[in-house]
Amino acid sequence: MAGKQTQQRSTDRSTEEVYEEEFVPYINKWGRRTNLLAVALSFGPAMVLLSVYGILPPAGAILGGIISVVGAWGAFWLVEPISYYPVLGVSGTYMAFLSGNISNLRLPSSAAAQEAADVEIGTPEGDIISTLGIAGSIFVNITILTVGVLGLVSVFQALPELWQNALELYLVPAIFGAIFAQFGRDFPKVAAIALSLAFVANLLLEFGYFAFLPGDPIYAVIIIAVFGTMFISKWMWQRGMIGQDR
Amino acid sequence: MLGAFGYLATGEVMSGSPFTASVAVGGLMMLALLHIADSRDVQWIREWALGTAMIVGLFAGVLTQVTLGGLW
Repeated sequence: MAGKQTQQRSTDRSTEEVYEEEFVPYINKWGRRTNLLAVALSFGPAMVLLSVYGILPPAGAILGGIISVVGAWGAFWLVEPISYYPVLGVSGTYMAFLSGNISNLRLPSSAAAQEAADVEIGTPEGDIISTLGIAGSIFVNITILTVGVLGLVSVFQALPELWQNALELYLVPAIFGAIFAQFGRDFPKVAAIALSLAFVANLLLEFGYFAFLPGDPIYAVIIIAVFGTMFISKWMWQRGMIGQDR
Repeated sequence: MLGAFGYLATGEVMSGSPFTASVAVGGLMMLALLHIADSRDVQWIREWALGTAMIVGLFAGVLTQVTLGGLW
């Protein structure tokens, strides 16, 4: 009786409700656990050094290390989740941050999957497709990496030097260009603003105008580019200067 | 999102002219392929667009390096 009732209820509920009430809480629960586990495991090598070999760096060195890491990467801790989440979706964000290589691998995979399945980014459907795309990319990544380590290194080394360099240097810019174009296609005005903001900020950095900032001032460029674009496009949206559909 | 990739893309543009060519050609290729996929409703072009744009962008980078070299 009770079983029948539950079954009845679950068929009555819409896909959206299942997504909101079952899928997202489940993903949040396991996403948090697995990501926190990854944080704990990251301390593994240091713990081995400490417990097995009894090596402990002086406190000053640890502090100095932390400060330089925060200076160089701290801005990314805020900017990456905020700016990638709309595309990656809930589960995609957990998976992407667990597996790494977000901007050059997970995000393009997620975006390509959502483009191919023709779902709208930011919707529950997009979230599911993004999850599948990222899961696929992780499996392919691990498979190719295993095969690559065993066999492809010699093939790579047999390539002429020009092509070795090319694969290392120019593939990633081509991905960035393509992904930027894919998303920029829907909002050309925002794309133009994003590009010019980032370009101006990069030029300012290049000519040393951010030298007064502490640490590596690359974070100034990121903040200007990401948050500047966000605020300007929000402002334009409120004034009806950009539409909801293409 | 566009801000983040604007930053990533211009960061590569600053690294030199072959990088600029890679970014630009990768982007234009993507636009062209998605446009064809949309206007003729060809699904497989949509699926292969990113991969193709990547390879073409890669070739554009190599071509620029060989012909023009680093202009900046």
